[in-house]
Amino acid sequence: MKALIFSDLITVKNAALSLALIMLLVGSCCLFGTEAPSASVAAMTVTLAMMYLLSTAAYDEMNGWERFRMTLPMTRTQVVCGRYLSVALVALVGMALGIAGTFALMALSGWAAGFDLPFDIPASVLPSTASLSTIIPAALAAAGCALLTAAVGLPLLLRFGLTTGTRIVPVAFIMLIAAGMIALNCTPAVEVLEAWYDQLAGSSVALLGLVCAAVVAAIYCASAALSVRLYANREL
Amino acid sequence: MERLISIHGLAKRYDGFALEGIDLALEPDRVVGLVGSNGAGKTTTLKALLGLISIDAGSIEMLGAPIAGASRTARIDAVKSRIGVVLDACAFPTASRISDVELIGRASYPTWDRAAFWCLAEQFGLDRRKKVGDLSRGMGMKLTLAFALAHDPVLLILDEATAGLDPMAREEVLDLLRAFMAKGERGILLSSHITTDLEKIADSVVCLDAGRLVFDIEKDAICDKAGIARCTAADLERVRAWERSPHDGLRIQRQPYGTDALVPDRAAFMAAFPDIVCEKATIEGYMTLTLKGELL
Repeated sequence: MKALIFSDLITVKNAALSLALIMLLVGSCCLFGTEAPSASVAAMTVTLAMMYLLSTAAYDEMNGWERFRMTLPMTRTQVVCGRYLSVALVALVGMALGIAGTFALMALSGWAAGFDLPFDIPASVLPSTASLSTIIPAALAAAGCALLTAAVGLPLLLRFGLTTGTRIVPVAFIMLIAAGMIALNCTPAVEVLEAWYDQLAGSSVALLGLVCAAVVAAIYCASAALSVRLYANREL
Repeated sequence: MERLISIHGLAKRYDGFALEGIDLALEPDRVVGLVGSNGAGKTTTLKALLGLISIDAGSIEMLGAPIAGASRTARIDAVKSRIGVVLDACAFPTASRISDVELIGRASYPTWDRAAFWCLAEQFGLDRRKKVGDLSRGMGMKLTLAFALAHDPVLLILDEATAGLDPMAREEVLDLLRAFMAKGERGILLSSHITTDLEKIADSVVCLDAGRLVFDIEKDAICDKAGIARCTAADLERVRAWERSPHDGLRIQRQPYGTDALVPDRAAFMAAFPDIVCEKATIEGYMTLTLKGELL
């Protein structure tokens, strides 16, 4: 498993600079477009995690790498678990880089505000208004969303590969969203979730966060278990 | 020491193709060459051996451990740590550098020898900063071979490993393979269309055609014992009348200039027909006449 994580990170390592620049570009657009640092950090976190997920899936299909990798001393279960762990690791790294990148952009805004510019820089993007109490929860929520997205996409990508997966994964998401909307409309799920949220947020936001993290982790692990079964039967 | 590879009754069915009844064995200190026309099932056999595809029937043991079939028990990752594989193209990610490939090897194999890898890389002229995507086909194959040898495997599985290499590089690779075998208790399964390479290194030759095993024979039986007789029409009639063992099946192939006949025992044939030209058989000639020839 360590070998798979390592090989995934190594293969993406050479694209690190371009990934970082894309993250900063996305973060800048979100920060100055929404005037909300929390949006910037969330976008940067999700961007890195999703680009990593798609990059590793793309590398799998290049040159027969996925097939050759299976000749290395690793089982298919280790390949799947290694991929899930590496995506989770990158989501965490994305959080840290997103927070650091957002503060860097805000510092840049503060520096730029000292010049006589033809436009005003919104106060919400200046470093004086930076608040970890909004930025960190945004980063955590974004990482959770990224992992939930990966939990849906990874089983399909591992089973079908990226070329076929690019057709199937969007359909899966649309079906999930439609099913979710039907469930929300036809059941008292909204009221239940609201009551649950009010109870938890009222007692402790940290407890709410922990519960959400546990739910995300459970879904992610269930997705990994499904992927192990799907990948076991894949012919390479 | 246990047999390195043991395949019994291997079967794998696809739409339009079926591999059936494949038996193959590789003992220690032996090199087995795997030949056959395109689509014969060579790569399918190797994929089944490496666990890349499931099998429909039969059993596979590698290094004494059952890895496929009803009696499968072995952890395939433990077995794979002792084998080196070269497939028909350099499969490392194109954006990776050769130094990254070494890191992958180090993370993958407990017996990885960094010095051995870089020694081979230097021998092959591989610059550690070079990207895999910038390597020619031949250089890519050399990289894969260096990767396969650097963790001291006991078994090498090579699928067209010398394809794309110039003659000097092929000889260099064959020397490496001989040095590998000289360590003792090693084995190589080498699938190749370059039959001259097999003539230089293989101990036995297995031929597949249309998913079936056609022959599994010692190389010396082909290259030293068998022969190809160049017959005229008149010669052919004399050969047809030759009293020989009914098991000495002669296969012939009609050519514009005459008829080639595959002779299992060249010495006996030349004693019987000293006036008919009979050359030593090559693996290519033997295979062609066996697959495409007709029985005399």
